[in-house]
Amino acid sequence: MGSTRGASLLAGVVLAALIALVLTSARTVEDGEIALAEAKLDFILLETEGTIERNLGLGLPLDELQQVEPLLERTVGRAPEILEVDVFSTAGVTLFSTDRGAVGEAVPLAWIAAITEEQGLTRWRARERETTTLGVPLLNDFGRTEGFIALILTGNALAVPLSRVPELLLAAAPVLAGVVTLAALLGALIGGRADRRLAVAAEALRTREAERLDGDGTALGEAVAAAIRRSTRAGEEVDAAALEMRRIDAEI
Amino acid sequence: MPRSERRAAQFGRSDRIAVSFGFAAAALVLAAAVLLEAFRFGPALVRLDAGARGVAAAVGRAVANDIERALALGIPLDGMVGVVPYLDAIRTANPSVSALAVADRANAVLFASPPDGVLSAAVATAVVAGETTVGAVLVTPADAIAERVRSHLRALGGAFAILAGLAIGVVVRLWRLERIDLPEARFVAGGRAVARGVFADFSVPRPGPFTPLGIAAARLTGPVRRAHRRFLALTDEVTALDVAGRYRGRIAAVHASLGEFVFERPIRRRALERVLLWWPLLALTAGEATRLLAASFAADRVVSGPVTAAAVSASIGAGALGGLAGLGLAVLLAGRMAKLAAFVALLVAAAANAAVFTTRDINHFVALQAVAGAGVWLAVFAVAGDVRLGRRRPFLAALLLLAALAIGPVLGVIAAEAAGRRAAYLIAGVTMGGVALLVLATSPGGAPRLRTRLTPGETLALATAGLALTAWADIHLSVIVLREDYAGLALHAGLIGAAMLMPAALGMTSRAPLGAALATAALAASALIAIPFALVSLAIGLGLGTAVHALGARGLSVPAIAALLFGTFAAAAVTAIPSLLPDTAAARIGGRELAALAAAGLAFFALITARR
Repeated sequence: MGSTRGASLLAGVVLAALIALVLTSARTVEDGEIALAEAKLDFILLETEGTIERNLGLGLPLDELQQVEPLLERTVGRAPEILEVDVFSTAGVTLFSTDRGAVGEAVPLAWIAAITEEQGLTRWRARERETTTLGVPLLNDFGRTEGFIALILTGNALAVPLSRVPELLLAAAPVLAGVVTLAALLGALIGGRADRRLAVAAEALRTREAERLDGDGTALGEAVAAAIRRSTRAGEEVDAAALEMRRIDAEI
Repeated sequence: MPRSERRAAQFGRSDRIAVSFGFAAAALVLAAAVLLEAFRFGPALVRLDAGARGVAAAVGRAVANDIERALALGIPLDGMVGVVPYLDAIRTANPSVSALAVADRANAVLFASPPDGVLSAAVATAVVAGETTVGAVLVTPADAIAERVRSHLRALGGAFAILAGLAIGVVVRLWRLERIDLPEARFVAGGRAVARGVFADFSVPRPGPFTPLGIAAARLTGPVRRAHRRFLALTDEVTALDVAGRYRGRIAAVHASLGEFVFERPIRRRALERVLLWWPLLALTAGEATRLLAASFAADRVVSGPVTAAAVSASIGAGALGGLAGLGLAVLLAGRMAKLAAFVALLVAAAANAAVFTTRDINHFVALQAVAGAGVWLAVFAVAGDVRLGRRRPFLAALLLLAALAIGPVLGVIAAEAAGRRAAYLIAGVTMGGVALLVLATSPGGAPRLRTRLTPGETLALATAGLALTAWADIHLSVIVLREDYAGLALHAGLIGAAMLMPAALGMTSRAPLGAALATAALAASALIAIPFALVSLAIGLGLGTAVHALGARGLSVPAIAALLFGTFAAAAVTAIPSLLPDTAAARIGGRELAALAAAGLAFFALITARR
C-alpha cells in the first residue's frame, strides 16, 4: 500500500469526516437556536391563539370578532422581531392584519404549502426571501379549523441555515489540523508496514538472495525464494549444457 | 501450510489492514468530536443557554403583565386565587420552562409550579404596581433544547466516527482485493511455476504495487530463457554439422539434461483485470440511504392513529415489492441489453427518489418507494445476469452488499439531520443519477454471478434477518423511538452497520441460520425485557451480517436479495396487522412483538432445515 498512499488516504477520510461533522453540527446548533427563538415566539403565538379561540367559543364567526384587531396590535409590540400579525381564513384570505393593506388579500403560497405539509393540524413555519412566518390553526370548540394566525418575522429572527458554519469551522480548525496530522502519521505507519514484504521480496529477486526470505512464512516469500533457487540452478544447468554442446561442436 | 490455508492467511492480512485503517479513522474522528464538543464548540452552546434565559424572560414578562393587571384591579398579590393552575398551564405549554413562581417583595415564594421547583437559577422579572415593585416572577429555563443539541452533537460524533471507519475499511478492503490480493495470487502462482521449472512468458502485473516485483521477476527469469534460446540455436547448429549422426546420442543426452525445465508454454491470456466494483456499491448505497427515512416520512404524511401503521407498512412493503419486481425483471432480461437496462433503471430510481423532495401525498410516496426499489435492484442484476461477462469478482459480493447496507443508512440519516429528510431523498436521487451516467460512460462489468442457489435454511435465515432488521431499525427506531432524532438514528444505523461488517472483518465462519437466530433473539429481547437499544442494534446488525457473510459470493445473488426483500415485506405486513385487525388479540400484542414472533418462527424453521 505504501506509506504515502496510507497517509493520504487516512488523512483524507478523517478530514472529510470532520468537515462533514462540523457542517452537520453547525446545522444542529442552528436548529437548537431556531427552537429557542421559536419557543419564545410560540409563547406569544399561543397566548394570542388562546384569546381568539376563547372568543370563537362564544359562537361568533371568525371574521366578525371585534376584539381581534386590537389583540393583534398588542401582539406585534411584544417582540421586536415580529413585523406583522395576520389572521386568515381556511380559504387563504386575510381577515385581520396589523398591515391594513393586506386585509382581503390572498396569503402567500408558501404559507399554504407549509400548512399542507403539517396537514393543517399543528404549528407551521414558512420561509420566504426576507421574512419567516410562524402560524397555528384556530380551532372552534368542536375542533374544527376556522382559520389561522400567523406571526411574520424579520428574516434574521430565526437562525439562517449554515450561518454558524464559518464560526464553528474556525473554532474547529486547530483540532482538525492536529487530528489530520496525526491521521497522516498513523496512515503512513499502517500503510508502510502493510506491504513491506513486497519490497523485501522484490529486493530478494533483484539480488537473487533467496536466504533473505527464509522464515518469511508467507506464500509470496516462499514462492519467490523457491523461484530464485530454481532459476539459479536452471541457469547453471543451461550454462553447463551449452558448454557441453560447444565441446561437441569443437569435436565436430 | 496447505494452499487453502495460505490463501486464507493472505486474505486475512488484507482484512486486518482494512480493520486497522477503519479503527484508526474511527478513533481519530471520535477523539476529534470529543475535543470539539468539550473545548471548541463552547461559545455556540453557551449561546443556547443564553437563549433559554431569553425565553424565560419573555414568559416572566407575560406573567408579570397579567399579575400587574390583577393588581390594578385592586387584588392584593398574596390574595390572588387560581394562580397556581395558571402557572401550571403555562409551564405545561412551554417545554422551555422548568419552574415558575411568584414571589413577594421579600423574595418569599407565594405561588409555585411545580411546588418543589428549583428556582436558584431563575430569571426574575419585577412585578410593579404603580411606581412600586411589589414582587417578582421567577422563571427557571429548562435546558431541554440545549441538552438536546448536546446529545445530538455527541450522537453525530459517534455516527461520523463509525461512518469514517466503515468507509475507509471497505475502500481499503476492495482496493487490496484488486491491487494486492489478486495480483499476489497470480504472482505466487507464477513463482511456484518457476520453482517447478516452468520458465514461461508470464504476464506482467498491471501498474501498481506489484510492478517492482514483476520487473525483478522478469530480470530473474529473462537471462535463463535467453541462455536457453542460445543453447537451442547452438544445438540446431551442432545437429546440422553432425551430418553422419555420430554425435546424435551425446546431443540428445545434453538436451535431455534440461528435460525437467519448460521454457516455452503458451499462456492463455484473459482480459479480466479492469473491473468496476464501485458502481453497484454506489448504487446500492444510494438506494439504502433513504431506508431509515421512509417509515417516518410516511407516518408524517397521515393523521396519527391506526392509519399511521398502515402508511408505514405500505411504504416499506411497496419498496420491498418493487425490489422483488425489479429482481424478476432482471431475471427475465437474463443479461440482455445489460448496460441499457442498468442505465434506464438507475435513472428511473434516481427520478423516483428525487421526486420525494416535492411529494406531500402518501399514495404518491408509496408509489415512488416501489419504483425506486425496482429501479435499483433491476440495475444491479440486469448486469449481473449477463452470462457473457467474463470479468467478475464474486469473491467479496457479500462485502459489497453489507457495505451498502451499512454505510447507506448512516449517510442518509446524517443528510436528513443536516439538510432535512426531503433533501436526503434528493441527494440520494442525484447520486443515483450520477451513477447512471457512470454506468453509461464505462463498462458496467464486475457484478457478481447470477446463477446461484441457496439452501432452504439459508433462504429462511436471510428472510428472518431482513425481517428483524426492518422491524427494529426501519420501523421501531425510526418511527417510535427516534422519530425526530436523526442524530440518534444515525448513531444506531452506524452501530448496526459496524456490527454487520464484523463477520467479514474478523473472518467469522458461522452458518446463516445462527445469524438469523441472533437477530431474532435481539428483537424478541427488545420486546420482552428492558435491554439497551444499542445492544439490540448491535446484535441485529451482527445477525444479519453473519447470515449474509456466510453465503460469501452468493450473498449478492437474486435468491439472496429476494429472501432479504421478502423479510422486509413480511416485517411491514406483520406490523400492519394490529391496525388492520383492531379489537383482536393481534392488536393487543403489538407490531414489534408480532414481528418477533414471526421472526422466531422463520428462524426455527431455518435452524431445523439447516440441521437436516
